[in-house]
Amino acid sequence: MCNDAVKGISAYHHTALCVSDWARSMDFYQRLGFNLLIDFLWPEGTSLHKTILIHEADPTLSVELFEAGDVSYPLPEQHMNTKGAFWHICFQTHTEEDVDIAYSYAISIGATSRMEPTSMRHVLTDGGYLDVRAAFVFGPDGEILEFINQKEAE
Amino acid sequence: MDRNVFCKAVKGYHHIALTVSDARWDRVIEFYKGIGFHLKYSFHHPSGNGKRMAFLESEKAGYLELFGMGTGQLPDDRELMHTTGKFFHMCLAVDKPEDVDAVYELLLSLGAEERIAPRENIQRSSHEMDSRVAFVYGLEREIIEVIYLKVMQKKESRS
Repeated sequence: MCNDAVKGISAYHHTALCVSDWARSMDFYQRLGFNLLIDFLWPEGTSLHKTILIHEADPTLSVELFEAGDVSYPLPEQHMNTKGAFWHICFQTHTEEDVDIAYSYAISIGATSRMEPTSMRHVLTDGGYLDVRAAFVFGPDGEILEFINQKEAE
Repeated sequence: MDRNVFCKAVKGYHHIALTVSDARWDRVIEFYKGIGFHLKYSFHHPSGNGKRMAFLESEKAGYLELFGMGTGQLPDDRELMHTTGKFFHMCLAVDKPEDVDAVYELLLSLGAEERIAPRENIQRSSHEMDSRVAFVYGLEREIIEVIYLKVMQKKESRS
C-alpha cells in the first residue's frame, strides 16, 4: 500500500560531500560540468562554505559541498564496506563510448583512476542480464565517482 | 577535450550507492519501498564475493544502489561530517513545505530514527535560501534529508 506522503516526493535532490579544500573542489566540480546553485556560509559566523552545485546536463545530478574536511578524519580506505555508508555517486552517460569520454576527461582534470572503463554483464537473480559499461574515479578528496551506461535488462 | 564534450556525454543522475548489512537486506529494501522505490534489478557482486547487490528504482528519485557487504558502523555525526571525501547524506526534494513533515512522519513509521525534526532553515549570506528540512537516520544509520526549497536568489540581485 502506498502512503500518500510518498506522492509528495518530487525528486532526488543532492548528496552531501565533505571536502577539505573548498576552492579546489569547486574548481574540480565546475570543470566536471556543475554550476553553482547556491552558496552560503555554514555554520553561521564562520568562513566555511556550504555550496549546492547542479549539473548542466541534469539538475537532479547535484552535490552539496561542505567545507568541513578535517585532516584528523581521513576517509578510511574501506569506507564502502561500512553499513550505512553512502560511498559513490554515479553519472549516467548517453552511450557506452561516452563512459570512456567521461572517464578520460575526469582524469584530464585531476581525478585519479579507480577502475578503467569496463563492460560487465550482471546475471540477475530472476535469470536475466544487466549489461553495463562503467568506470570509477577518485575526486580531490578521495570521493568515488562513477560513470555508467546501463542497458535495459534482457 | 573540453568541458562541453564531457557535458554532452553525460545524460544525468543515475544513482547513489549505499552499503547495508546482509542481515538487514530485506528490511532495508522494504524501508525504501515505503518511500516509493521498487526492486528493479537484483544480482550478486561482480567480484564473486557472494554479496548481494540491487538497484532500487523510484519514478521520481532515480536509482539507489544497494551493496549487501556492510559491517562495522558509521562514526558519530561529528566525525562523519568532518571526514574528508565522505558522502554523508542523501536528500530528497518534496513539492510543498507540509510534505517535509508528512515524509518525515512516514520515514519514522517505517523504522527511521529522528535526527532533526522538520524546521525552517533560513540562510542569508551570499545567497538567500528559505527551506524546510528534516533529517532522519535510516535502518543502517544512513542520514536521509527531506527538503522543500522555498526561495533562492542572489543577494546582489535584490539591492
